[in-house]
Amino acid sequence: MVKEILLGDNPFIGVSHLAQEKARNERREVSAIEAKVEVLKVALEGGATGFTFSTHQANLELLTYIAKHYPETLKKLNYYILVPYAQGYVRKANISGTVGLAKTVLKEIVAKHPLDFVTSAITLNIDKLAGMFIAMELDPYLKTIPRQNIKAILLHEVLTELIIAYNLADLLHELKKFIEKKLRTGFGLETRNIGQLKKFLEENSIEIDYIMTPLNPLGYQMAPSKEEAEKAVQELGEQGIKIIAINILASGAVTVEKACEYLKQFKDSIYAVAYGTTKPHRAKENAVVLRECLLRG
Amino acid sequence: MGVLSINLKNLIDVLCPELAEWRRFGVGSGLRVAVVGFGKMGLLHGGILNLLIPGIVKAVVDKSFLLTFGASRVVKSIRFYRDLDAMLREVEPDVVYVATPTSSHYPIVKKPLEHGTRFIFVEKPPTVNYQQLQDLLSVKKSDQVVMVGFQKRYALTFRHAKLLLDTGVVGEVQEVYAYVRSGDILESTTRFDALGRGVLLDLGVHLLNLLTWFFKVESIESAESRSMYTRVDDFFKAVLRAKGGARIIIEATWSDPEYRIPETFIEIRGSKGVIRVAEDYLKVSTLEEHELLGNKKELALYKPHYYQGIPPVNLADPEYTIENMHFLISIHREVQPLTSIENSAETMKLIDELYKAARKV
Repeated sequence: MVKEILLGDNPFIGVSHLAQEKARNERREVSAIEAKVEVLKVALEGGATGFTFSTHQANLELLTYIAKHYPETLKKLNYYILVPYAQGYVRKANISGTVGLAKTVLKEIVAKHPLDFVTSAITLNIDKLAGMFIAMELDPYLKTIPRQNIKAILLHEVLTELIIAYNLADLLHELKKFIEKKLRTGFGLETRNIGQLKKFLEENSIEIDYIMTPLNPLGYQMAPSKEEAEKAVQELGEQGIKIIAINILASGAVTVEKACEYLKQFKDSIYAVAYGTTKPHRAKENAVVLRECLLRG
Repeated sequence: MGVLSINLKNLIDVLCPELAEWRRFGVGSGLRVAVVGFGKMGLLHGGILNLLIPGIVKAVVDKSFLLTFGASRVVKSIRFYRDLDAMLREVEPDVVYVATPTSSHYPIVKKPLEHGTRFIFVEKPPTVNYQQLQDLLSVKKSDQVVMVGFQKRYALTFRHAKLLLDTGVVGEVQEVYAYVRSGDILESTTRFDALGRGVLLDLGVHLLNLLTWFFKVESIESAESRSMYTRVDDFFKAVLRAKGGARIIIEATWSDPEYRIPETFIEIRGSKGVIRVAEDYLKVSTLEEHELLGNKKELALYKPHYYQGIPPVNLADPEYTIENMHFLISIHREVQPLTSIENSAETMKLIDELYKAARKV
């Protein structure tokens, strides 16, 4: 059953899977932090219950600002955090090269987790370093957001797809253990290859709490095909995994009404739906429509 | 023409024949792939290949001890090497992917060619200059295939633009404006000092590869470059002349903070209309209704319209997956890929000519 309507951060940080042109325009629209706050507040009024975001610096600034000026708003939202913000690392690799980036990250880990790093180095447990890296990324957010409101930490899709591709089951076990035991919150994966992810989880007997994946009437970003992705969503949902449907509007190529019509068939399989916008009126309207369509009736 | 009318399903079949071929042939199983260079592009290609055909990547070569040691502790299904020769001897891969920094492409591609590896993929640009490309061609035997990672040729928006252009939807081409922009380099770096070439070679090469595919470029009217964060070109601008007289204005920069990720844009003004195309969209506006525009004068299609449940793997942009499918299909069918090293010669020659003509400002 659908329990939550979430606002997504993509338009806030200049991401659009429709066109970069649109992303640049949207980022300008919410360049003032108050504009983002307004979108979040009216989404709440419309019935949204949570905010899903990646660990982009702009989101930290937004949440810090809300914590200072609108603490009640901060407490009203549930949070689903995507980690890490992959594009930031791609950009750093462009400047310093991949090896240079790896060295920089290792230095930061040593500075923040010296003892854990030494243990990891002595035991040659490289998987453990991944947990420290995630902790380092999350640290400022965990200090800002009420801990009880953080419902899940999800691995960014690039990390998930590479974990599937290179069959990194041990690494995934380590990250899951770290997030569940040390951070005491739900653990999830974001993916655009849900068919392949389902197979990977089954083959490696890995149980996770959340999967965040695109689900839209066009089949955009759904793999290995629209039909197989739909089947995977239904079967994983039936197994009790909380599915968070994202990109439900196919990046703006379909209306919220069409998306609702399509999503109705997954009402029993999905746990939450997320949408993104920079326009306050749309933030409210979309939340209302999605709520009416998926949470009631 | 019926099949090309604006029925999206039919259109996608025409624009992306790789999909049907992939289903028909069930290609790739049994191939042994090695990846040389385990930076972001090596990881990406290896990842896509493994998602398309689980376990196809058997070996990775990277000169960095940190990377090979770290990765070998995490990735158990792949053998890691620091020495390319040792890998070629011990693994005998059918396919080698070269995803190292550009300056090393030439010596690295040469090794598997000399070793006798049948199929090689090299990231763009294939070499630093045209001479190196010619040298590789002289080493390459007729039964060997080298494909270059000009992945924009596998983006359906650009393929659609080429189809409309060739069909004369916008009439005779009069002027072209094109750019590639990114915000990748926004702080000082010495990374490109040794290479001696900057954004035109790194990003502009995509644009030139598309433009030489779309048009016959005949001459360079002017060229200028500017450094901002590096000792090479961070910004490059040129005016070209195409066969038939159309002027082509190009710009390339990797230092535009407005561009979170790279964007390649081409605007083609013809006697009957305009095509605007980027990785994300295709917009057409014409004076006359046309069957290829659904008997309308306007057409606007975005990425979600093109990639409906395709390609079968989503890792980075869809064109990367289609590019890898294309290569594996070419191997299976024993045919030259679209972006073979031979077909890349014109692009690399133009790069050399532009650098030679460029005035530093």
